[in-house]
Amino acid sequence: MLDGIFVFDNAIHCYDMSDENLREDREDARYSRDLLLAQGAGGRWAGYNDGSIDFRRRWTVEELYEMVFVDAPTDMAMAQVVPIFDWFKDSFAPILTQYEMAKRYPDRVVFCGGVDPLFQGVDAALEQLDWQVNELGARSIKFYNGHVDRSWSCDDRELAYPLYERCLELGITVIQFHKGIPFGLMDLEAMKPNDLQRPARDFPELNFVIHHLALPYFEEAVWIAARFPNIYLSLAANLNFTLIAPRAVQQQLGQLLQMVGSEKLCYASDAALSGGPAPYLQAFMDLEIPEDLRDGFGYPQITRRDRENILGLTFSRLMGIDVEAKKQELEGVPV
Amino acid sequence: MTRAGVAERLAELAPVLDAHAGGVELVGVDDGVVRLRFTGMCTGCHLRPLTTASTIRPALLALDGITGVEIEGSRISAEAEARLAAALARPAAQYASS
Repeated sequence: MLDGIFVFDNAIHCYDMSDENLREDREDARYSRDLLLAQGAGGRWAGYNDGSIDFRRRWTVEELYEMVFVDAPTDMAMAQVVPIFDWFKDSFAPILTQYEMAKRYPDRVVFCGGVDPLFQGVDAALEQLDWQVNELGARSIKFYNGHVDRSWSCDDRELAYPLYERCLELGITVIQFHKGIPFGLMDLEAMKPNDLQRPARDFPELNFVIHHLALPYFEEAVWIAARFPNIYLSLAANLNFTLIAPRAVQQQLGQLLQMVGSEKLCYASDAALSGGPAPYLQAFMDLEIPEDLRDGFGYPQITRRDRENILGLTFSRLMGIDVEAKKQELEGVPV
Repeated sequence: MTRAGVAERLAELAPVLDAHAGGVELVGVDDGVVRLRFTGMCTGCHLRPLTTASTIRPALLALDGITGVEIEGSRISAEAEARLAAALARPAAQYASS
């Protein structure tokens, strides 16, 4: 916990960025992997960005656990599959590795599966959903609709809707989407959050989580999340910039509190790629909305309740976690 | 003031908010503080603070025992709230003569 606040990290990934996982049939595999590494390095902090840690490899669940739970005040985290096969044989963050993390640390880690209806095909993706939920215990599913050349739209009734329907049949009520922050040379436009509006209308029983504030489509993400009761925003790796560009984070957070509300905002570290979360968690606790933004834009001051919601309560509510019971369960249990 | 009493007052306000194609629902009443959530077209509207300050808050603060009204989902700064309250308190005639 952080100053008594329950911290539930919405997204960690046990990556495989090793040379062995790169596809030999893709000339852009190495370049794109290196670009991902560079993106991650841009948001890392002291102790994680001095060359002492090699990120170009296959992470183990023990290493990721140490980074997130031992070296940072995290109480729970969701290990999310990254079903990006464009450059990786076994995806960017493989299914079985994320499952292994949840299996190894069941009190603290929740497994989030992932499928792709174009790369795998709809039928195979549906079979994957059945397997990942029924056999591996996935509690949520992550989608990446943006790819190099083969992007799909989240409101596609033939490609995407069967997956949403199957999620509901399997009891999954929280589905998540990487939006904004394109990888490699993907088309930026595919990362707009706009294509989640029709699914949010058509599937009111599902909750949709948009990651990364859909940057650079921040305004779109805000206007969508403000209106749709079942659309939430994950600040996945966004808080890393609290120390680099505090003013930018203050402006984003101020607008989010004014338009969306902290009841619909979740924190995510995106560790391991973005390094250990402890430094920017503390920076977030110290962050305030300055007077000129409060006065000039009407952005409200961030409160302790906002911090509680963002760091853990919002995502706990979504996942049906009883925070007080969980606190008691974890009390005194060494990490 | 009981939750039922607050709900009754909100029901009286409903036709006003219907005109906005929106509404407001009661989340709870705790130690005299009413917590509300906007619904319908009000949820994404930039003018929510004005609706709160000019319509909802005065109607609820007029009830015995109600000391505060908080809106879930979004809010504006204390500075903006104060500006809004001052503007709303100013008689219309003062605007006409200024």
